[in-house]
Amino acid sequence: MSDDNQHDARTDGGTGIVPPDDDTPTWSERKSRRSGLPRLTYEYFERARREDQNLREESTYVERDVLAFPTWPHELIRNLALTSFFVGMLLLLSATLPPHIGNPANPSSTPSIILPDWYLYWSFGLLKLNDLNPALSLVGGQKLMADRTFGVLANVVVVGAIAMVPFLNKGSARRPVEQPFWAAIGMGGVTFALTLSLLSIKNLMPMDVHLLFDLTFLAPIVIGCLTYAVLKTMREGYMYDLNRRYYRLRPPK
Amino acid sequence: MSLKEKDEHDHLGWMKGKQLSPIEKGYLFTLIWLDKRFRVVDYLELLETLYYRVNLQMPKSHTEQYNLDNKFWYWYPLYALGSFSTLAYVVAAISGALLGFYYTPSAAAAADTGTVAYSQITFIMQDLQFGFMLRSIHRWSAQVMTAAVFLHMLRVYFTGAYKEPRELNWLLGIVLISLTMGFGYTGYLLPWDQLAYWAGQIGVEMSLSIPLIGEWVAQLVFGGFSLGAPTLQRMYILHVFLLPFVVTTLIAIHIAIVWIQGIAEPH
Amino acid sequence: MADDDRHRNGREGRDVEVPMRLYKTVTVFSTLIAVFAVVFGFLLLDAAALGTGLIRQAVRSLLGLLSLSPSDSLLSAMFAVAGLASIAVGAGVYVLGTRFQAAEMGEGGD
Ligand code: HEM
Repeated sequence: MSDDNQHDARTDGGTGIVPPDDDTPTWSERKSRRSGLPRLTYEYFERARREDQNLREESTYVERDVLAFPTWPHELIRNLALTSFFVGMLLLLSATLPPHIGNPANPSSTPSIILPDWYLYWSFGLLKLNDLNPALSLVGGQKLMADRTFGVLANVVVVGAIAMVPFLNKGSARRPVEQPFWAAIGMGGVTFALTLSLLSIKNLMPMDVHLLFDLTFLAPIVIGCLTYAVLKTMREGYMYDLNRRYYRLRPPK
Repeated sequence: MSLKEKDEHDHLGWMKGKQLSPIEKGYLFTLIWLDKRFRVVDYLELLETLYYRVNLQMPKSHTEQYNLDNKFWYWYPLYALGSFSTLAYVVAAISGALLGFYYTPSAAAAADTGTVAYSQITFIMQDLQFGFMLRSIHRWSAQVMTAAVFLHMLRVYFTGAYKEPRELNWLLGIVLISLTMGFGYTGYLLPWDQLAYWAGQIGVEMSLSIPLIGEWVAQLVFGGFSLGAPTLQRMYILHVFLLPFVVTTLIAIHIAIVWIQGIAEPH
Repeated sequence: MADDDRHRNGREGRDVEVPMRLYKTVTVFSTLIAVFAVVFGFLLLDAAALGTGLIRQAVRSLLGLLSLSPSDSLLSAMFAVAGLASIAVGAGVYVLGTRFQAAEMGEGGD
C-alpha cells in the first residue's frame, strides 16, 4: 500500500486525519493540536487507526481497504438463515390470519370509512392538512390552491426531502451517537409518519380532532429533541470511557 | 476418503463396561442397530471432512478481526431486512402467478353478485383447493414486504449507510419503495369490493388534483374520471405486467450495486 | 450410577459421556426419528380433523378389508390419540438423546 492510498482510505469514520506510519505526532504535538472533546476524539480515532493498521499488517487476511463488508459470504449466509426463518413466520401468519373480502363494489353507497392499506396512511394523512393551507386574508380568506392540490404537494415535498438526505448529510460518521442531529431528524420523521397515519384515521380515534392535529406536529418535535438530548449525553459518556481507557493504557509522560 | 475400512468402534463392548439404565441401554442399542444398517453418519462425516478440507469457514468480519468497539453488532439482524424484502417479493411473485391463473380483471356483472372479478376472488377463496391459503399468502407477503422495505429504509438511514458512494442506491431505494406501495395499491383494487372501489375513488381524486397534468394522469392511470371496467383493466396490467418487470429489474440493479460496493460498515 | 451422574450447573438431569462416534450416531438418528415422528404425528392430527385426507381413506379401506367400519367420530378420536402419541414419542426420543454427550462437552456449560 502506498502512502497516498493510506491518505485516501478513511476507514475509521473519524476525522480523516491519518498520520503516516513513520512520523506519528509526538505526545506534545498531539496535545497541542486541539482542546477538549475534539482532541479526545482525535486521539481515540488516531490510536484506533494505528492499531487497525498494525493488525492489518500482521494479518493473513486478504489485503484490501476495508470500507465495507463483503456481501458474500458475510451478509448472505446470515441473511439466508434469518430470512428463511422469517418466510416460515410469514407462512404461519397467512395460515392463522387469512384475509377476508368485503361486499362487492357499489358505486351508489359510499361507506362511512374509506381507507387504503396501512402503508399509505401517512400519505393519506398528508392529504388532511387543509388547516395548514396558507389562506390569503388579502383575497378575502381565499386559499392559494385547492386543499387537495396542497395535499399532493405535501407528498412531493416529503419524498423530495427524503431524497435529499445523502446530499445534505455528508462525512463518514455512521452511528446515531456520532451524529445526534441527524438521528434526531430521523426519529422525528418516523414519529411524524406515525402521527400522520393516526391523523388519517381521525374519525376512528377516540380523541379530540384538534388535539390530534396539534399532536401530529408536536410529538415529532418532542421526540426529536429527546433523541438529540439522549444521544448527546451518550456521546459524552463514550468519550469519558474512551478517555479513561486511553490514559490507563498509556499514561502521559 | 480412503477405501480401506476404518476400524469400527466396539460399541457393544463399550456399553458393557458402562453403567446404564435399561432404557438407555435399549435406546443406544436401537440407534446402534440403525447406524450399522443405514450408514448416514458415515456420509455426514464425509461432508464434515470436506468442510474442513476446503476450509469453508466464515472469514472474520472487520469488526471481529480488528476487535473494534462492536456495540453496534446488536443491531445487526436489521441488516437482513433488505434480503427479507427480496424474499417476500419472491414469495408474493410465486403466489401471485398462481392466483393469476384463476383471476379475471372483468368489471362485467357476474351471475350471482358483484362483478366477474369479485366472484373470481370468492371462487378462489371458497371453491379452489388451497385457494384460501394462496390468497392469504399473497396478501401477507405483500404486507410484510412493504413493512420490511420501510424498516430497511430506516436501518439504512440510522446506520448512515446512504453516505458517500451509496447515494445512488438511496435514490433507487426511494423509487423502489414508491413502486412497492404502487404494487400494493393496484393490488388492493383488484378484488373490486367496496374497499377497493372507494380506495380507487380517492386515487382518481388525488390524481385529478395534481396541478397542470392532473386530468391527463387520471386518464392514463385510471382510464377516466370515474371508476369502471377500464380502471380495473389498467390496475391489472400495472399489477401483473408493468410493475413486476420494472420492480424486478430495479431490485436486481439495487442488489448488484450493493454487491459491488459492499455493505456499509457501522463504525 | 456413581461415576456417570454429573449434574451440570443450571441443567437438570443426567449426562452420560459416550465416545465421539457414538455421540454422532445418537445425535443423527435421534434427530431423524424425532423429526419423522413429529411430522407423522401432525399428519395424523390432520387426518383426524379433515374428513377427506389420504391417510384417513387409506386406513378406512384397510379396515374395510378386515370388514370393519368404525364410525367417523371413533376414527377421528383414534387418529387424534395416535397423532399426539407420535408427537410425544418424537419429543421423548429427542430429549433422551440429549443426555448422551461426547467428552469435553459437559464441562463448559453454556
Ligand atoms: C423493494 C425494496 C427493496 C429491496 C428488495 C432492497 C434490497 C436491498 C438489499 C438486499 C440490500 C443489502 C443490504 C441489506 O440487506 O440491508 C440493500 C441495501 C441498501 N438499500 Fe435497499 N432494498 C429496497 C428498498 C430500499 C429503500 C426504500 C431504500 C432507501 C430509500 C434502500 C436503500 C438501500 C441502501 C442505501 C443500501 C446499501 C446499504 C449498505 O450498503 O449498508 N433500499 N437493499
